[in-house]
Amino acid sequence: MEGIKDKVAVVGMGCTQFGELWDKNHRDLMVDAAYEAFEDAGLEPKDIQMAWYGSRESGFTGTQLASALKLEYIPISRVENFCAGGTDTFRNACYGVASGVCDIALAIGVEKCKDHFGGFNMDILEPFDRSMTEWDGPPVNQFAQLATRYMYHYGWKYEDLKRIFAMIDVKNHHNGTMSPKAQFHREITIEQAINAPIISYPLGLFDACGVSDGSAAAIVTTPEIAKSLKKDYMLVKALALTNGAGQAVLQPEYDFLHFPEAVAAAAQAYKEAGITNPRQEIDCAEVHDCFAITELITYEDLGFSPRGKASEDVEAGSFTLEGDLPVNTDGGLKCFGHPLSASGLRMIYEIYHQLQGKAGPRQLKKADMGLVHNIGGICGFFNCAIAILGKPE
Amino acid sequence: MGFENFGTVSFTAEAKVADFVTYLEQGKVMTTRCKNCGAKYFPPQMDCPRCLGTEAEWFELKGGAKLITYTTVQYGPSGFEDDAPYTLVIVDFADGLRTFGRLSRDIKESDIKIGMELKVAPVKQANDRISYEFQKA
Repeated sequence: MEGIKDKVAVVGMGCTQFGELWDKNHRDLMVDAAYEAFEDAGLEPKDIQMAWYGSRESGFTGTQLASALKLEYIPISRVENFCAGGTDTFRNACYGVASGVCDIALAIGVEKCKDHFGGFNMDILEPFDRSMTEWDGPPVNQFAQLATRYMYHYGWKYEDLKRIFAMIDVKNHHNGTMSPKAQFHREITIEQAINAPIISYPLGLFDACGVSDGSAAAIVTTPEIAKSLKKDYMLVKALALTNGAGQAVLQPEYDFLHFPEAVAAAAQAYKEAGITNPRQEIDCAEVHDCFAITELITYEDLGFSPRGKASEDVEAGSFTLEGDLPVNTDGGLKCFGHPLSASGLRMIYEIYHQLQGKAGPRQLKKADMGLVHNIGGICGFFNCAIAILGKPE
Repeated sequence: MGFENFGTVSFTAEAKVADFVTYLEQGKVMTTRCKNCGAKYFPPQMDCPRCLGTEAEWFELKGGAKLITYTTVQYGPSGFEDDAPYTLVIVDFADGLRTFGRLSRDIKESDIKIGMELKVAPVKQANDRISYEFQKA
């Protein structure tokens, strides 16, 4: 089985401001994201042969995108894969190009989280709806339970684990100050993060990402066409997607210390990209920091840190802009908020610019290979999407 | 009757395991065991995700449960705003059955310890609604 490595190139990317965008609907946001990508690629809407439209909350069917961009009578599929939806939308578009059925494809993700359903639409009931027993657990409550167990398992004192969370929060907020399109642009202090109100013990206000509206888009094509369009296109090195088939908390084997779906997706992605030592070979990563505990565990799931030892790398500053493997260089979900299906593409947007050397004040000295990671769902049946991009040889 | 009267918010009225609520009204926490492979579930499930069997029998959920992890919710989601703060727990029963639920308000947050022994019991909520919770064993 051949993988996707070096078969698809990213030639254009766009991303809107993320935040409380009351004066724009999802079509407005898609126009803004797509036209930045068109300009970047030197292409026009008429050049798009197929498109994939990622949305969970903001409109059904591919016609949402067709009408926004006036993409008449081309195939557009809507992709929904919860928090992994953006990266999965990108994955579908890449597979379209790699299959040879189209040469130029658009992947776009959008959500209006702030004014749909009064915020975050919480209707995750599976597998509990079989019994209809109450499950009043939004994501923050789910991930908080991992934090509690992580603290217990590794013998952490509450104050000490909160300090590690705070270091992650402070890092992401610092990076966010240099991201004009982020929802939040303020530095925070360790003390602020530790002393912030608890949302769901032990996670406090700054241990949680924001909720925002936003859209991001990618134009992908063959490496041959990419070369004719620009010098600084980027190649897709790996695309992985896993969906947990478990029974959530009904599964007594689950340890609340890792995301098995992420471990499996990372193995798929590293194999496809030919990566054997991710800590050494990956230069930067955008990981799914919906909560501080998620980012901490993800360091371990992706093999950046040994199991149970991610805190040591956090203390050493390994994942800051000056560290050996900067993570969430644009401020992450923490500062951009998390418009579900837009997030993955927003993260690819950052990696693309880091690899191009166009990340402005956030620019890393060395960025040849970058990784994007999204995880969504409920403990026991998460899904996880990973994309790896690299510079052409 | 079905799940109309169950919990703070009932997400639907109909379910294959509607008897669960009837038993709660009778003061019993009953759950299911797969007739085919013997796997036990709580919340009850009529269809077995392990062997894919479709027949289950009811048994009373008794005995100690151990606290695996928890979170105390300070801001409840839509419909649960007035309930907060409340504590959600994941527990393991001695026979390997794992489940979730709420912790009794009688247990102070400072007294919650991972590994502590709990038991499950029906609980009456406001407006004559019914649910179950985990209490000190």
